[in-house]
Amino acid sequence: MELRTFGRDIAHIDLAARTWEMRPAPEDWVRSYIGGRGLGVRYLLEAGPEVEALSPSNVLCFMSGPLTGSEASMSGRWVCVTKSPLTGTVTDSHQGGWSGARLRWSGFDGLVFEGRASAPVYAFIEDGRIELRDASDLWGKNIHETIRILQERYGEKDLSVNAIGSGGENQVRFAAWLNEDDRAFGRGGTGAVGGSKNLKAIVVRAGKKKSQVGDPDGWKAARSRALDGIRDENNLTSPRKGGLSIYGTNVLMNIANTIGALGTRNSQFTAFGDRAEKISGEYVDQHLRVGKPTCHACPVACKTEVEVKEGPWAGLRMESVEYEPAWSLGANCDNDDAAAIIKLIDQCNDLGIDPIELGNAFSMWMEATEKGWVPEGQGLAWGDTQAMVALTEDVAARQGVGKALSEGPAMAAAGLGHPEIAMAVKGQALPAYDPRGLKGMGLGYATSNRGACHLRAYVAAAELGVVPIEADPLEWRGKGELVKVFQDLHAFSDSLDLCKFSAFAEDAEVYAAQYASAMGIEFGSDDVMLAGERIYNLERHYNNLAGVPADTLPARFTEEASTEGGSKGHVSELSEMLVEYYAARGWEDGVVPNAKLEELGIR
Amino acid sequence: MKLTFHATLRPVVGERTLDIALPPGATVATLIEILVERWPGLSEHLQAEQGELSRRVNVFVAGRNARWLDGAATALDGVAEVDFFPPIAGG
Repeated sequence: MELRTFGRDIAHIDLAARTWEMRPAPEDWVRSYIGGRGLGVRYLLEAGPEVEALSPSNVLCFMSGPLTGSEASMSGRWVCVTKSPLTGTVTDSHQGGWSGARLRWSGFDGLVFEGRASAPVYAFIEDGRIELRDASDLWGKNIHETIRILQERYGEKDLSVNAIGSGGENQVRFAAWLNEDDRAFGRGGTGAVGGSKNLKAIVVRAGKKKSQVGDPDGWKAARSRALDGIRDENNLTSPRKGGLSIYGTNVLMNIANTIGALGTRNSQFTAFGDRAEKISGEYVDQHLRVGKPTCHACPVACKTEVEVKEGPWAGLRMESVEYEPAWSLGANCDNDDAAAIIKLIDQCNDLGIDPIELGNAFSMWMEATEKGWVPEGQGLAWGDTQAMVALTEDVAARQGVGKALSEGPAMAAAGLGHPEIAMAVKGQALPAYDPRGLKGMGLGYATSNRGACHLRAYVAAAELGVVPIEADPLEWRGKGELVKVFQDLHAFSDSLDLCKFSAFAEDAEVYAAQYASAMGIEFGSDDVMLAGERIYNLERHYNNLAGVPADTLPARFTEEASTEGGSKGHVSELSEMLVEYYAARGWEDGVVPNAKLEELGIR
Repeated sequence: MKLTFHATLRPVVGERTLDIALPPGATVATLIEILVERWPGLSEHLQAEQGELSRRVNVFVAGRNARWLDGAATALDGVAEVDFFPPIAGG
């Protein structure tokens, strides 16, 4: 059996009626929006931007891309697209591992869940068929146990299980989906949308299939070129030699600390001093690493399997200590205990909640406690890891103080009467790069279509000197055009759907060659950038129609100067950068004008 | 001056940090020459064409990438800390 060319096998699942049917994506949608993120957003627009995120009218799209599950390197990605209950924006969240590949191998390019089941169900998918099965015995169980039960029921061979935990069931606004215990559709609250639909899990069983491509010779050459770039020993992706491959994403901890871009104590400070080393990728590699797992078709293997050796959580084994949660639950909360961070990440993976959002909720509450704004008996001290562990359970259960924090730091801070201490954009919490130390990243956060997000633009690749583009992180001039280009390129790679890290080794030309040969069409690097721009504008158009607020950053980053590191004394010049950015986009104060929609063929 | 080596450069040196005294007027290029003489294994990471910085290293002088200062000619007089990183990015 071979994989069919992308776009024909989209399943529409009516949860209320417990029926499904296969409908090919309209050809012009596939041509215009590629797959993955772009195609998912197009389906979301069809459901209406005014839809309530946690109502049955919202749709929950799980989309693969034209390269997902293929022989292309780093092609184990797929995406969940829905309207976010956290931000009210479109949201797309990507996941690695094998579940996206197995979806394609099972005969589907995408799943569009509509409506709400009257009782808990899970989807069992195999050989081109979908069955909605009773999940009443699984409801109330967290993710690790749910996955274990389903693995016992169906066997582990060729099986992927995506599940929500109590976070999703209780509709925590930043609930996530996890597959195989550790890999998340992490951001934006996609798990809460699953919970609102009584959808507990998606189980896919499928063996590997070879790609059916339009241009086999071109396909082989394009993949080979991409792989050569990934393996280049000068590249951070180089297997077992590059920094990303050896230390994983947490290799960023020390460099962010050095340059003054490591938000500390809810971003009141910009570095964590010598304590950053204790939660860094280098420390984890030396003291806690026990394995190096990877995803489908990925030679980089950036994941780090760890085991806690001593203390209250001795014996806990999990993957992976990524930079984002190591920061959000670490320096951001004044916590330098790597074992506690591992425990907290594992809790998030089991309960099904986003650790970036959780860490920001904690740090906001800690600052509020410090300032005397929290009712007596409800405070949380900086770095109190035992209290953080206990409160994580309460957040997922939406009880006690956890109930307020389950709304996310933006809503919780507003509830205290101090919205200014929520480090969030459009309701979604900031990731691990302080906008005063990496100014392009700050503009990327402000203009992200899913709320604060490091991955929509990721100009850090240029600002940290990884890709050969001159981009001083403390210079704001030129960042408007740069952020636009990165956003458009990543909108395309997210639609293929290739791992974001492929961009450290591949450019638009390499992406175009792989896509063109897979589909058997003419497609060049200019087409890559145009498709990316179209997708980015489609998302913004959705947000405009949904009434999403303006592009901004918390005042802390524009008014309070960086305290330490290379960025000391700097603030984010967001207003100036936005002028540049809107000019590059052709937008009017953040709104896509009709002329731009027509130019890009968005209907 | 305190030097700190990060990620893949750390095993080459065998230390996380070390203290070093530089002659007056020393630059990043001077420092790289001294380091490569002591640890020849650093050569492939640190050395590039004469007068330029290698793309395989980012040298931070008091938290600022020398690439955005004067490159290999960046003066080190009065500088307390220099950090060495290979190309680093992630998620």
